[in-house]
Amino acid sequence: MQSSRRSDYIIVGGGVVGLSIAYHLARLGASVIVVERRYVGSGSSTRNAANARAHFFNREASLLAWESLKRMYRLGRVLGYNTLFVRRGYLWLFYREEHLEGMRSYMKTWRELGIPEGRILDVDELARRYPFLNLKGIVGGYLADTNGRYHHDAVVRAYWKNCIKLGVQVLEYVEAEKITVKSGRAVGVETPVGLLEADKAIILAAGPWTRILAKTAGVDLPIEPIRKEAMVTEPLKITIRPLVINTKVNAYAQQTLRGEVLLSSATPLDVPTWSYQHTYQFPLRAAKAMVETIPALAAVNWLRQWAGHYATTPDHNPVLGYVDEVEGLAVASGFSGHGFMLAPAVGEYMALLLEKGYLHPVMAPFSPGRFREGRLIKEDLVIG
Amino acid sequence: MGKVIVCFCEDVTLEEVRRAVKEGYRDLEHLKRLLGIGTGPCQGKQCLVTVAKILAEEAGFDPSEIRLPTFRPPARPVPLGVLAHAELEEE
Ligand SMILES: Cc1cc2nc3c(=O)[nH]c(=O)nc-3n(C[C@H](O)[C@H](O)[C@H](O)COP(=O)(O)OP(=O)(O)OC[C@H]3O[C@@H](n4cnc5c(N)ncnc54)[C@H](O)[C@@H]3O)c2cc1C
Repeated sequence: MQSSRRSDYIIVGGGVVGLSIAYHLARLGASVIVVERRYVGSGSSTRNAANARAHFFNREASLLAWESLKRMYRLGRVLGYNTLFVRRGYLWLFYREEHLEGMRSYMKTWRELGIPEGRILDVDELARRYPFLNLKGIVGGYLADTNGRYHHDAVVRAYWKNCIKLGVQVLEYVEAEKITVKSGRAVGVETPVGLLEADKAIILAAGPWTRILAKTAGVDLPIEPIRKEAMVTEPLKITIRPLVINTKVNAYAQQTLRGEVLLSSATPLDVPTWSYQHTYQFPLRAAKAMVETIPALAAVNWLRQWAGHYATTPDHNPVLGYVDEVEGLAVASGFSGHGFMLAPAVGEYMALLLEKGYLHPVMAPFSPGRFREGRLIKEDLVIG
Repeated sequence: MGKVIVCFCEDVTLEEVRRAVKEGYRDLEHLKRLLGIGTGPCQGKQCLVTVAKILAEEAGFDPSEIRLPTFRPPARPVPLGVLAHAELEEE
């Protein structure tokens, strides 16, 4: 393939975020090169649980997530490729009255923001609707049935195919080694296949590795590579429709579109590490939590476990926009475990910022400068 | 020739693999994610090496150049109830 070494934008990272930004930039007529160290999607974009929600516990994240969820609903139609989105809903199970109270107060905020409401379910209704639940210790639930799940591989392919159609060069197995800065401006990306030059900007959408690349340009971003694990079982007839969240131990279970039960759980081994090594403790912990919540799972066969990253920031919110220290260098990372669902809106807003110079107010609070300026985004309610 | 199945768990045929390679999917990871090969009960133990060979032939690679996806636990299916009742040593 004849490929050019120079373009308006170079994006580092061929995950869903890099591809969404590339797609939106190309739609605005810009030329774009995406460099991906391994295969497209090889980071967390193929390792996630594939859920999308609008309900976060602060205004800024809820607004961004709702804008993105609306785009997720119609993404398949817009991209001409079925992304397999289904509104399965989220069901949070609460074990403490104060969490239920916190949820009630948060429902007011979501209402003010125009986000579709879920509703509180009492224990009787939980028993009626979800006979598979063990309700011992549970004081109530919150069901948000406008949230849902997509197929992550289908979404990645949908963006990728559209990028190619629009002339974006997506280079797999090309690693960005260093950002070249000349007189305070990021001008190129050094790779084993040579220097790639950017006329307008370089965007780091490299998941947790964004921090390492930013450092080569003298920029320090507080993003930690927290390893997170997940596991799946054999497929079963779909019975567990919503994503069921056990807020006591921060674990969840749900069925994928083909019926596998996907489980995850927080563990003490969710530590910063570059390794995708799985742990033996994780499946024990996730199974214990979710078999307690859904006893019938005890008979279901586990097939696979894997690990990915939560690219985590001090306030658990993403880092989006230009860095202050170097001109022409932008980042979209630090999604702290919910970046896939945000990719549709983030791609669009980043492209507007880069190509039109318009900082969308919904994206503005997530600026990289907020850590230095001490403007962290507050989490109003922390559950789990 | 009739239908040739290359992934028994997910019912994927030789023809489907060939078509995907022609479309440009030249990585076992992409074939796995597009066609579902290796995602069933055997987790690729029966099919991935076969599909690697088909990919090599169709795309003109040397088989040694094909990267296999990571094999992960468990080696065979285990009921969740067994895990749930296992002793968990605190980390
Ligand atoms: C177990 C688990 C469950 C999750 N569940 C959900 C969920 O339900 N919903 C949700 O929205 N999110 C979820 N997430 C988070 C989600 O996966 C991520 O936020 C999202 O995929 C981030 O996309 P990305 O494109 O920013 O990063 P990635 O997909 O990680 O992509 C970054 C890419 O950059 C490449 N790269 C890195 N360094 C370089 C370099 N030097 N040169 C070239 N390329 C480079 C990497 O190879 C990688 O492909 C989950 C994550 C995990 C681990």
